[in-house]
Amino acid sequence: MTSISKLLPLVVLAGISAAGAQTVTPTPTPTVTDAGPVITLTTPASIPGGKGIISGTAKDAGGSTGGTGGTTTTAGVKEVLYQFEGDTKWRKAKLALPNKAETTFFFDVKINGSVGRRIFIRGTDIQGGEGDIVGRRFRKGS
Amino acid sequence: MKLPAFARRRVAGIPLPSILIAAAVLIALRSVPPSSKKPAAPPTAAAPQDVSPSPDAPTGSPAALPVSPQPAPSDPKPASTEARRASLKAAIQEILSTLQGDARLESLSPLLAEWIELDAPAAAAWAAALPAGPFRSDAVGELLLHWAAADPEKAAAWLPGSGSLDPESASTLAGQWAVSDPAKAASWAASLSNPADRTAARAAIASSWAARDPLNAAAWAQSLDPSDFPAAATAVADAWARSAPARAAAWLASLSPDPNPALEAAAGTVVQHWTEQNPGAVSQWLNAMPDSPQKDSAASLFALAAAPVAPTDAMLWASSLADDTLRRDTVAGVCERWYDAAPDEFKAQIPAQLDLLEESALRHGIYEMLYEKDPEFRLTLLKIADGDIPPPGADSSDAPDAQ
Repeated sequence: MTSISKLLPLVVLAGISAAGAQTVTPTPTPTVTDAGPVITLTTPASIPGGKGIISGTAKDAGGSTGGTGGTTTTAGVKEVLYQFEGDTKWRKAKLALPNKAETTFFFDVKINGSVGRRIFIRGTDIQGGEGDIVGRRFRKGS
Repeated sequence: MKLPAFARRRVAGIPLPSILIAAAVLIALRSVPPSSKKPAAPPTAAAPQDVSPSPDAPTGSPAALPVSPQPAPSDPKPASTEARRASLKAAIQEILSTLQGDARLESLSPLLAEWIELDAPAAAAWAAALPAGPFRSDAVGELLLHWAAADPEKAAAWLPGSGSLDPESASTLAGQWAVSDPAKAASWAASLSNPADRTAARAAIASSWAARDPLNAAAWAQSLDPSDFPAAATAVADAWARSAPARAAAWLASLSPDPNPALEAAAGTVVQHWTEQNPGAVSQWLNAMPDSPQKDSAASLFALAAAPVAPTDAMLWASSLADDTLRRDTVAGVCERWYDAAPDEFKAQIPAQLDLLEESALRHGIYEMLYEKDPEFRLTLLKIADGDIPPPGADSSDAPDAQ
């Protein structure tokens, strides 16, 4: 036999268990979750001649506010930033569709040295959410 | 810590200490005679388990240098192999304990090539056992470059079960393999279950293939599923545009009669390479396009690519873009590239360019750019714009009365 507790959303169960003990339902504090854009690099790790464009996609799922009245916030990639390993400055990549939920981004680079350079990339969304940093070493190819 | 002058010298972009260490190691390796009777190092026991942990992964366990199954007693060169193995272990340990960052990788690269030749599975196992982090990715990448050039099928068989398969390693292996056999590399890429790995591998194949045979590479890219097509098409466009940008542009235009945001990076790479080779042709191509977001985007890319060589033309293109945000970002981007390429020329000519910019937002974009790059000149430019001081080269009689 299936227990009724397995079929109810947790928020309803919380109300049932509290019903006998409390007369005032506490107001849940809204929590905002926003993971920020997910970066996917699509440029091959080897760049012919060391000079070219690095590109990829940035996808934003939007955020959500917790609690019973939770809503989903608008998704949109605000900017994609990149940084060479060892540098301190983050530079802006060009977005094909700024403020949209999914966009292509790209920027041009010159890679020198026999082992190339590692580049870190991250995105921010229009709600202020910051995505994870993605790193990849790009090498000068023949 | 300040390094002595000789330690900061670079030759062909490589730090001098790295070159010296790598040279010493290679000399030591090659000094082992083929028939050396030097006692073999005990298998794995003498592995550098005392290797200094990488600062990239400070909490990881130091990796041991494994060995493949030992050769049978009838092998004619066991002592030589063991001696080389021992030298490699010592050399790698020395590098790991003394160098960091790119210098460490530069010095390791020839040793990994040597190790792959000697015992590829053991080298691969060592790299895969490194603590997770950027250094392991670097080491696996270097290893795959060498291994895929020598024996791509064995490298491809090893990677998926190694724990090191990710888009970076998939791209490195597939791209190197496609240099010699794009069809087999494509077949391997199709077998990858993770979409991100597969997309990265296919883009790398497209790039390597298109560098040698753009028509077949383009046809293959068009046969891919929609999730992998934009990355592969961008890689084809990039490779093709390096040798025949007008053909690459025509191919891209044939793919999508309407603006396709997923292919904007492809358009960007074509415009960039074409501008470097023949900016006049790009300008004509843009002028022949009907007004559209696609034209705006291409013109923005053209302006950015042309900025270092024809900055005033680039400023004209940038300031004529229809989209407000794109126009502001492109003007600022052109100025930044102009400044980077020729700062003195930029400082001399930008005041006159500012006069041509009617929108204050465009001028603010330039001031913002200078705020980080050259705050002193930014203040000077603001004074010039306010008429407090004359622009460079102006007749002093035009200057405001200082009384």
